Amino acid sequence: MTKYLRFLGVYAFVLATAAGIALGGPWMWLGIAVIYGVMIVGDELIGDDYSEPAYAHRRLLDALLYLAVPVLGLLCFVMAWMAGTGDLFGVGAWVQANLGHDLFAARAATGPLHWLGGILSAALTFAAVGTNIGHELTHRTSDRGAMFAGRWLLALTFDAEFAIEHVYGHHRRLATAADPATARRGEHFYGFLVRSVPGQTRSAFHLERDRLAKLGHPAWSLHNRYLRGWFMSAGIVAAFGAAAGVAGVVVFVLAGLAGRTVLEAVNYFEHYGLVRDPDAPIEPRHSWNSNKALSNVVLFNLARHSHHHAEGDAQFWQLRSYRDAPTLPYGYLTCMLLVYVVPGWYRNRMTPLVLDWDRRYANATERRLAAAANRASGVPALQLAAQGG
Amino acid sequence: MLGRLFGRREPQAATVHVEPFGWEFHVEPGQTILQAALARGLPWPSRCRVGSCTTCRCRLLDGDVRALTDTSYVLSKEQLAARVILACQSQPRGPIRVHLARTKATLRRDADDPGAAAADPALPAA
Repeated sequence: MTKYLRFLGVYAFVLATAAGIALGGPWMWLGIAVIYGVMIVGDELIGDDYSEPAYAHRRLLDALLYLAVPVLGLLCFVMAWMAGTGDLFGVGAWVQANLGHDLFAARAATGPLHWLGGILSAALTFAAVGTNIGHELTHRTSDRGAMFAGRWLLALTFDAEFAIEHVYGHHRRLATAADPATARRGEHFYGFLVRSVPGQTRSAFHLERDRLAKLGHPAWSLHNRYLRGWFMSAGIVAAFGAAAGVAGVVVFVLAGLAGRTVLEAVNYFEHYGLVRDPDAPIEPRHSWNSNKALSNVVLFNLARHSHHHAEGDAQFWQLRSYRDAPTLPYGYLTCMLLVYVVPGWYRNRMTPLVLDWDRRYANATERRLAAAANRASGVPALQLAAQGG
Repeated sequence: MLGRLFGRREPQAATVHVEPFGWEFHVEPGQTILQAALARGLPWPSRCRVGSCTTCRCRLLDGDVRALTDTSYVLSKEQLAARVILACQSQPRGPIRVHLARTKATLRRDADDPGAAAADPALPAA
């Protein structure tokens, strides 16, 4: 049973974020501090887990995913209550009477710098739970319930269109120049961010527009899943506006947009600098893999990324460790923090790993592509290697 | 089209007959055509396995399948009209017959020969 229940761990992070926001003041930073602290230290201390247990209870595994919807709903409610001015649904009075916590005082003690922590905590939580589980669910393209829940989870970060671009774009174009979600050699995170977000948005819109044209539907209609995705996010914004006015809208929009950058940080390090012949199959070597135990438990095995891209139809509990695949230098949250705070340092940290990839994993075509990527990278150590090779 | 109305029916174990090779194999309930073919060691071409690259495409000659992804994102209007399906995203509803234009061995030759790729082999001759 432990092998199932360990996946509940991530929900403790959501509750920490929600509790921190409800406590107000400096506690607003609780979520982000706990998540980064526990994950960075935990991944280093616990290390790798290569086990590949068999699971019999599929419904239980599904329940662990769908739990994201009510739990993130609770987080959104707490955010809206704290951003508002009245007593939404009388919850403040109820909490005071039954739990002895004064939400009104907590709200009064919360300033903009506190809210910054609350917003960053919510953003990280939206991404780690909403985007990640939304990703898992929207891979189940034949399951209407999973697509519905998954797209709403993605709508929290203004990215319901991910359900289109990721499956029909990223998985097809992975590690090629045509993929906006693959980071190029030498590109640092913020350069990637401003290229990948519009690139993926454009790709999603074009995929949807072309699909509708083939079926004989107009592009600008309710058949358009890209537009419907934006209506979903607009609906959440409107709900925050109705519940908490302008402050509610500002808090949610900032958290959603910041949450979207978390996805891009993950996109960045999952495939940084890798190359592939567009006519060749996708193999485990086209992703940076990680078997860090805690990263995988909290992210439903997302870090076993080599298998996910090599066999995109595998469910999260079926993902194998692929311990010989190219491996990230650290766990997911550690990579993420480095990518945000010291993007140039992280890029340089990857240089020897990328060169090692060229030597040990690349085939002849990929070595040629890699040499061209090295020359164009702007990174001296990579350019030097291209000359030497 | 009528098959769509019965989309909720559970897929059943079924036999797949593959032209022009004469392969015949069984697909278990819940399995895709590609999974069953690869499990038997057949050289069925495939890449992404999520219904995006279309490498595993074949043409449905007889019978009906349940499509797990929306193939209208990745197949052309002409392919859709010609009942081209993706083996990696299709579960047979009863016995089916398909036409596979390429195997793993011929795939690379197609990629090196733009002429062959232009005359899309998964399409019937016009």
